[in-house]
Amino acid sequence: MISLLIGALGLLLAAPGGAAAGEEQAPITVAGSGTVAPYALVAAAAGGAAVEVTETGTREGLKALCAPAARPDIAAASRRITPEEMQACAEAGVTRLAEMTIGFDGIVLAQSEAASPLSLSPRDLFYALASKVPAGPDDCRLVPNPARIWRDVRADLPRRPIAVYGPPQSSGTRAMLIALGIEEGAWSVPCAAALAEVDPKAFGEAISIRDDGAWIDAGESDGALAFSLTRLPDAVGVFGLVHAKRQEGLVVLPFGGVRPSEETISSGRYRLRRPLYLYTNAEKLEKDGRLGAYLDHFRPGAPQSPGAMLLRIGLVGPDTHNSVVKIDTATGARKAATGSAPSGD
Amino acid sequence: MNRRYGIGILLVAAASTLTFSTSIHLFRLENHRAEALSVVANQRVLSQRIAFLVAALDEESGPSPLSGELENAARLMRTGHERLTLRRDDDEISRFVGPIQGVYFSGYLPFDATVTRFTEDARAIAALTPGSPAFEAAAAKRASIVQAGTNSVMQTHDLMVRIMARQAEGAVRRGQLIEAGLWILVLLLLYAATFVIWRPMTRRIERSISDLEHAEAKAVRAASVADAASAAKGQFLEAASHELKTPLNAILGFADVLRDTGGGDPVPLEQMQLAGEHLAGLVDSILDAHRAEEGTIVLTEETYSPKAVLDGVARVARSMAERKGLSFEADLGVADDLCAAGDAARLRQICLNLLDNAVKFTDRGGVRIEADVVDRTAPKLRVMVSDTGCGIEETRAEAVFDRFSAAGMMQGRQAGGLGLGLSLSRYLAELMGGTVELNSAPGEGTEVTVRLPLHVVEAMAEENIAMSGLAPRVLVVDDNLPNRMVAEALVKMAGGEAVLCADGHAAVEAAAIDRFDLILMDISMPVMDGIEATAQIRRGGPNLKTPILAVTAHAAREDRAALLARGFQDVLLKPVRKEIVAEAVGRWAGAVVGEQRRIA
Repeated sequence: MISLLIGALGLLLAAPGGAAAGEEQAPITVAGSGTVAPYALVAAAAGGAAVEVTETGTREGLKALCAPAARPDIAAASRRITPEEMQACAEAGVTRLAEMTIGFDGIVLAQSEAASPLSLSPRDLFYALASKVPAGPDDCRLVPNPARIWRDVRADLPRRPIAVYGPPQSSGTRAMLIALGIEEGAWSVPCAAALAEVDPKAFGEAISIRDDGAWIDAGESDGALAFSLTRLPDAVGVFGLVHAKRQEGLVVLPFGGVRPSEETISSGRYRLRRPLYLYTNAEKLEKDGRLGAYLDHFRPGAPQSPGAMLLRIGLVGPDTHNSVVKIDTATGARKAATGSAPSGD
Repeated sequence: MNRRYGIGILLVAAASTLTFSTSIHLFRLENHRAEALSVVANQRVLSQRIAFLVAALDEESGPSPLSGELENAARLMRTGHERLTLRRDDDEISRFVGPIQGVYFSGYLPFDATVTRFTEDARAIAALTPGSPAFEAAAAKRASIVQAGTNSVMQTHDLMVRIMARQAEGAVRRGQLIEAGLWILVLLLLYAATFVIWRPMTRRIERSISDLEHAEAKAVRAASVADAASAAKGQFLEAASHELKTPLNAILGFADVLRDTGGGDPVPLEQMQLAGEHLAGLVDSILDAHRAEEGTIVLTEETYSPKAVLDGVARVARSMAERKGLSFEADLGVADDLCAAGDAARLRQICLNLLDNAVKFTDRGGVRIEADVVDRTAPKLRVMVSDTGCGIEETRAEAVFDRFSAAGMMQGRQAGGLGLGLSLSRYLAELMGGTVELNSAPGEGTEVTVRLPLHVVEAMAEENIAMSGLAPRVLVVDDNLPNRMVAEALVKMAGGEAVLCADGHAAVEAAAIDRFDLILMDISMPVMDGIEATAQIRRGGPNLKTPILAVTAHAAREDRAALLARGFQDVLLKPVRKEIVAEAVGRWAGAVVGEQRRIA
């Protein structure tokens, strides 16, 4: 019920026609990760801020943040900003960025309730999704991934064709899936592990996601993907837990034997979890009080506070107090806003 | 059964129609699925096109036709989007687009808004002149259009295509299931119809055929039984007549002898003879009646004197009438020397039958017989028998000739007769090519007129006995003692000398020793019958060329022809009469076989 209300509000707030004619102030623009977008929406709705959220993917959001043309006020990211992106910002004249970790979100593998059960390990993910795998148990030559059905990956998995719908190249979630899932799986295979030592580049190519049709780029609209899974029983979808909780008729697969929940994500037992970030121009933040106020909404607080809302829809609170970290784009140095030592990556 | 058949046919027709119309309906339902799919696929193409055009406009620096194309593409995409999000009423693709509404409207940031914004941004860019400050200022928007159109918007539409493809597969499978179900239903219907309708019908028909076959077999059996019965009856009658005629032969024969030798009172003797002749006639009638039924009567052809036959008949009838106290008149206007060729015995039978009936049905008054020859050009013998008896009703007149009609039977029974009516007379007359007419009225007597074609022949020449001076030696063969005695006497009377044998064996022995002038051979004898004996005699010996006459009770022409073929020269019918024996001796004795003297 609540989620419906929030959704409706979100709809209103995301209405087309960005520029608000006749409004006192332009809404705060948030662009980037589709995983973060719901939280941005809900925080705004619960906190009463005017916000325009667009799902363009983490990469595009971060790019736009420092682009010469009109920039979003906040870039939403489901991964940390890379040094290259920081470099680009420095070159564009944005010297300092403010980074806020709003919490953890679990990357979940979801499917229709009607589909046959799947319980995957990192190794399974590697053998299912990597573009190149070892030819055989004793053969370390890399060959294009031959697995067509889940049974090819592991004998006790169902005879379903491998059809994984996940985020496109621009998505942070995709990068995290590779890092936390596929790469983890590769490390558990001796041949691949050895390759990582010997030829990192080849290793990187191998663990990139296959492009032969078993993996399908499903666009940035995670809500659309979540719904589609209910109509495609063979498919497995990859997106943030927040979207899985929103859509009816889905089940979430255990990964590494662990079901994603607040507890397992918080403790880290569920491996596919990553922090979600909001990035903004540090100067803009210092100048515009609205931005700061908006960012405050993301902090956990009283039960009815916006922050509490976020937890209810899927956000898992960080083990550290949400703090804003200032980043020097030129050097990449991080400095906590409150002066305390920056948290580790 | 017809109703069931009709229902069965109707059911099968209904099932077929149901299957067919379901197919048509399913096909028609699918009509717009392809269209819906193509609209979605088109959105993919348009989003990419828009991205491409926006990127291309970036290269331009002034008004460009690409702007117009961009505007078009955006408009088309907008229209497609409205159709796909059911914003248009009464769209035929609505049914197929229902399942993908969730793609547009699910989640925190519905894709519907994304697409709407995409198309509006595209239109906004299309409205700007490339190179203008406004155009440059919209760089972020342009970048996002290109990014979204190339990837995300296209990919999300792709999800819809996949969903719709799966729906189509499902629809096909459902259609197949329905068709299979209907097929099974039709099979079940046919199966049921077979058991409820076709099988019972077939069984009915089979049973009818079987019943028919049984009935036919029964009829065939009955017919064969009837045939056998009839054959048995025929055999019985023949045997009976043979048995009856044998003693009769003795009675009549001895009566003849007595008359000739002067022993006994002539009047009673004559009455006895006449009664015997009457009896012989009746026996013949019985046999002929059976033969008439079988249709096996064959008329014989011989030269005879009609007057002699009529005289004989009149004598018998007179005696019958006088015994009953009736008067009798005979007016026979037929010349004594008139000779005709035909069946004398049957003529006698006809006349006797008529006279018999006349006497039977008359209690007072008398019986009269008239005969003459009429019509010179095609001579006919007319014989009319009239009586003053009780008469026959007009309505029953025809039935009298019918052997088994009630009238015939009744009259016959009442009057104490055989119930043959006049049927045999009519049959024989018609067989001869003649007619029988009946005139009668109750209480006024009856008049029956027979008209028979007459085949007139030249008079028979009197035969003289061979002038050898010696009495001809005649071998008489008969297993019956009285018959032998009669024959011996008659041969003597005819001027011959008789040698007697009691069976074929003895005959052959006798014939081997002595040469005879004539042999009279009885046919039915034990040990060796007349035919076998004749065959043996004809093989060789002194009597190789002696005329042999068969003496038999059977009167059928085929019997006669068969006998002639077996080596006999002629056939004498029992009971043999003095005249017959005399004529035979006169004609044949001393003749040599192969030089038969034939009478014209």
